[in-house]
Amino acid sequence: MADFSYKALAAVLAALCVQALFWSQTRELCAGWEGVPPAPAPEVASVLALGDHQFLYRTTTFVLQNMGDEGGRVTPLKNYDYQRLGQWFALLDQFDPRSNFLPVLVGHYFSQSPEPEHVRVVIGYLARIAARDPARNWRWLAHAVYLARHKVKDLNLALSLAHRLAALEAPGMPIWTRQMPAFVPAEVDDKEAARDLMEAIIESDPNLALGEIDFMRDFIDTRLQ
Amino acid sequence: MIQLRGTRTLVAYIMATALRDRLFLAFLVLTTLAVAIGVFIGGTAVVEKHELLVVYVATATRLILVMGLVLFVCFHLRRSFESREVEMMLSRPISRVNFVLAHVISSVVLALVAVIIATVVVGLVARPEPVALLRWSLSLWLECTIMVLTAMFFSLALPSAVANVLACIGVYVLARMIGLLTGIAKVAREDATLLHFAGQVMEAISIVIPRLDLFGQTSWLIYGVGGEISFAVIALQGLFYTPLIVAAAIFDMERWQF
Repeated sequence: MADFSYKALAAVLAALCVQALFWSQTRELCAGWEGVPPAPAPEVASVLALGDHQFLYRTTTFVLQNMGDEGGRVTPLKNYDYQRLGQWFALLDQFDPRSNFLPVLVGHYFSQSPEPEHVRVVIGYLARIAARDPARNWRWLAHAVYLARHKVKDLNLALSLAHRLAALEAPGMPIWTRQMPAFVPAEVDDKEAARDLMEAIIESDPNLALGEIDFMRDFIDTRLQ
Repeated sequence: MIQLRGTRTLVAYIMATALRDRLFLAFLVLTTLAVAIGVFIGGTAVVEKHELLVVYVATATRLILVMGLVLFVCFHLRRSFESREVEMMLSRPISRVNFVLAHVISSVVLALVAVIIATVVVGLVARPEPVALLRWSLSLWLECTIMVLTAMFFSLALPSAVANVLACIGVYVLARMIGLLTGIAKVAREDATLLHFAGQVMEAISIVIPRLDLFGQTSWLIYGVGGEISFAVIALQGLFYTPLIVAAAIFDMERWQF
């Protein structure tokens, strides 16, 4: 009986060694990234989350945040398919129009692509959510103006967005948003413009959550100095 | 007439079995584990970290409770049949109806204890408005009760525990999707092709499937109560569906030949 136990233990240890050997040879392997998948129809997405739209919104936005950067791999934003990302933004926006998780991710992360065409997708999304709920989202239109002016370098688009911002009917919008069309043509350094905009938003938007203020301050300190 | 003593003994026996199987301890351990994973996941979100944690924990807790209770009921009842405990119990002064009613009472109590554990964990993690937490907990209790009773029904109707569990999972997934599926069915019925027939079939199926998609919305824990769905609708669904599944279980129990 004791002899049998030793044999069993030896078998377990041998199997463990084989598994450890396999692990040591494969731990650097990661599945190839197929790129941004196409967004499903809203009905299909809803089914996948068993009808819990909040769960669907948060987990899928979290997946978007980490997409392409899992398993030790880092994918440059210029390699993402922004047309498909735009479909994901539109899809998720239906499931929680109140949250700032997706707008922050789109406005501050996906907007960092060096490709102007990519940033136009971001601008389109930000302008849409601002038009849908100006009281809550006017600052995303201000952000879209900055992106159009300093990332895409499209003065006409920036002016058009600035006029839309100035014309928004949202109570509590600070006075500088009404003056935005006058600021747009000014030649200002890109980082300085971004810093000024973020600091103005932090000071003037009472709806900002503490976590988001921290995120913006960190962004200013680490990326815009 | 309900034989109180026999029913009470059976309820106590089922609760003792749940304790012996460490069902509630398992719920506590698994929900705590879900919180630990949720803290890790939420901590890596760019913003709204707490909201992601809450949503993850609430959803994981709901699935842990439903699956845990279904597994317990399916395997407990099947084990009772196979060890001939059911026959022994029915040889005593307890009718078949009382046997089912004792299981119904046990199911409600089992679900209640499980939901209290979940409420404490989610309440500590999410710190939502008390009204929102109460509404979430009550609707989770109804959801768990419906699923436990469904598990009881299948356990009396089907001879295999694995088949019972799979049937329950099927009903649960369907019940969580049924609002959407009936919406699609409505569109399909306007179609002139085979989809029209499929839409009618789906409409017929939806009659006997509870609207669990309205239950336990995690958005309540984040944004508070409100929205288009009144809690009365959820309570009424629980109130109407429970007698249906209990009556079906009694009907099935009456058919059994021992």
